[in-house]
Amino acid sequence: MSEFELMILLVILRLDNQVYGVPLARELSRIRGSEVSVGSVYASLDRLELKGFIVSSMGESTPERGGRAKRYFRVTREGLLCLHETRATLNKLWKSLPSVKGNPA
Amino acid sequence: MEVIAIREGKSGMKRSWAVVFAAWTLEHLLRGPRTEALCGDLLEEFHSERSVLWCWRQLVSAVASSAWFATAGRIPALIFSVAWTMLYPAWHSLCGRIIPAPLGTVTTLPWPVLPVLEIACGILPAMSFVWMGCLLLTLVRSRGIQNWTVIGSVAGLPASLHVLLPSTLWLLFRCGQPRPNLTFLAHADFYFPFHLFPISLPLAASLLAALLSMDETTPRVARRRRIPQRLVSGKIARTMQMWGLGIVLAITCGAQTMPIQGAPSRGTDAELVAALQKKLDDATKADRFSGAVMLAKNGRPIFARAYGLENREKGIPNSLSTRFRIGSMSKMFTAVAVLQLAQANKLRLDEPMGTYLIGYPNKELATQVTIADLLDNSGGTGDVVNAPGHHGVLSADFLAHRAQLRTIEDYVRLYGDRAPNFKPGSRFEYSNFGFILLGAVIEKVSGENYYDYVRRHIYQRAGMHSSGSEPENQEPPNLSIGYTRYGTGQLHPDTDTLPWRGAPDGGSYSTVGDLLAFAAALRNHRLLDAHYTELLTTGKIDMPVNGRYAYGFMDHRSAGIQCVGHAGAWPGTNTDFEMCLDSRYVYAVLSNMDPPSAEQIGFFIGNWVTQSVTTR
Repeated sequence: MSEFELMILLVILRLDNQVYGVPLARELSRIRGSEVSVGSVYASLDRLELKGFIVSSMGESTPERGGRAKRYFRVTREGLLCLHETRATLNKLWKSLPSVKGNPA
Repeated sequence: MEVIAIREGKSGMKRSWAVVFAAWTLEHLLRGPRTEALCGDLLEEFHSERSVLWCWRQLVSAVASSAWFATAGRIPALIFSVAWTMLYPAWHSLCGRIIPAPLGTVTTLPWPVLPVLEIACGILPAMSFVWMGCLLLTLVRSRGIQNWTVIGSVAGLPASLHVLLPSTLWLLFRCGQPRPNLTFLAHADFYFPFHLFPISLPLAASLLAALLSMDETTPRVARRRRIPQRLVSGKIARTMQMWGLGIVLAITCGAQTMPIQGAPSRGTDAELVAALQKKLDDATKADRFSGAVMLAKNGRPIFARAYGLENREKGIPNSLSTRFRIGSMSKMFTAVAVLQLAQANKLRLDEPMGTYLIGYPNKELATQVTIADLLDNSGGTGDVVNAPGHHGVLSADFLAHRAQLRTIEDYVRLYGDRAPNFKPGSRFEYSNFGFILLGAVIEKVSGENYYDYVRRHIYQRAGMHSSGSEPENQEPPNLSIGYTRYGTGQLHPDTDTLPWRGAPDGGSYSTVGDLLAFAAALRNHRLLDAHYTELLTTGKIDMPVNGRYAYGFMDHRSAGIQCVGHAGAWPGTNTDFEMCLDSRYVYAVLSNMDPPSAEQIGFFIGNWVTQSVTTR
């Protein structure tokens, strides 16, 4: 799982595990502090869904969307398990990170 | 969309159309469930705060990232397809040992059973190879893929067939088959070495198609009120469609093998001449024949005509006096020469060849292989011209050495240390090298050079004044240029495939008239007495198809065609000479184009006269 995919999973959970593209991309941009491409977010979402870490379903449409349906994403149990595993692994690795002088970690 | 555009006012309307156009573009560039949601998201963002430029930037990056993921996702499949295809020669040679054996024994099944069987046997090695690759990769990857299903992979198999069949037909067409026919695939010689690289393209493409159609590149998103079972039944429907299409395709391809109905194959001599004329005119018009044909009944020609061009560059037409390279037909002359020496008690056919070739490099071959074994291709002496196991296709080794192989000793020096391939005398395996060795025996026993011997004792005695085997650089007048489609698919001179000069196994040149003179000399016993003439042409050992091999002659009588003779084939050369119904009918078809240009004409004549006599 790439860093970007990991972040997407965490953002979905942060937004109450029921989220569609617009808020997801905005939250991701806000947290990363830089613009994200909605298209590449969707490409990663598709791959996450193929791996079974998330599921999606088509939802309601609004006039602002030109009649196009929203697609809602939710993290599955497998996704959650994988996140926990990744966190456990990464936590072990963080412990050996040396601090950089004058630059608070 | 219109609603929004109107609500935004005049300036907003203009901007809005640009975005609507962007959405429209996106929806036509990308596929899958992500597109609708993505378009909606972009429009929603646009209506909250974003600019048109932002929308277009997002569009470009969406298309780019989608293309990147699609490509990146397929690279492993592509690499695997290419790598797996490289193993095909090994697999094919393994199959070659198993499959042709049973097929060789059935040659009399009616249409469509035989062609279907042939196509199946031809396509089976390729098909099973592709499917094996699919299975392997699927097994390796199935652990990592959640929604991999059996149904999905079954759908991948016909997809590979869809790609394999048309691309193989295309390949056949490219390789110069005038009427691409999948039964060619059953002929093992189709693959090596000219087609070894090209055949890998259909294989790799077919494997890739199967792998991609098995892959789920986009997830299936459930819409409201859509039940999951629909997805499964949809998959089954898709699979059925794929198989249905595959079957239709296979039938279409198989239909090409249908014999052309309506053309008669028996009748009077006048009808034969008319039918032959039409067949030759059609073939010449379609650029499938170029050469000369002579048919004689009871020693008098009833048909003699030449077609096409002897030299395309100079526009010289073929004539009855045009010399054609005759390929393996030279084996008849070598065999006659050996039997002449046997008739004169200068050699014995049951002696091992080592008796005459003292000091032959390989002792096993010298002591075990008899002269008779060499004459009927049962010596296990291997080949020097054809690629191993692939009759009719030049071996890379021959092409590498063709300029250096000038005398019979040159051949013996290069190939003389080879041991027999199998127990000599036990079975038929066409061996050009065996006839080279007979040439060496003729030289040793007669004390004459092979070429001088044949000229003095066969050509001169029979009155074959235009026949010979001078080196290619001293070409005699009226020698046609052989035109081949091998390799490139385009018709070109076969100069870069020719041996330095004709040898005892083939490659001399002759004319239709000379060959009929040869037949007359055989019949009048000017070359051999009655006993040895009979021995020369009576089948000795079963061939996989077309009857039995005699001594330098093929005896087709056990295969239903009442003829004995020999054909010759080379890139840019195809010939057939047969004596039918105890030499009542004799014909020679010489062509300066690829096989089967002359052999199919020859078969037509042989079949006609045989059919006509059996119904009278």
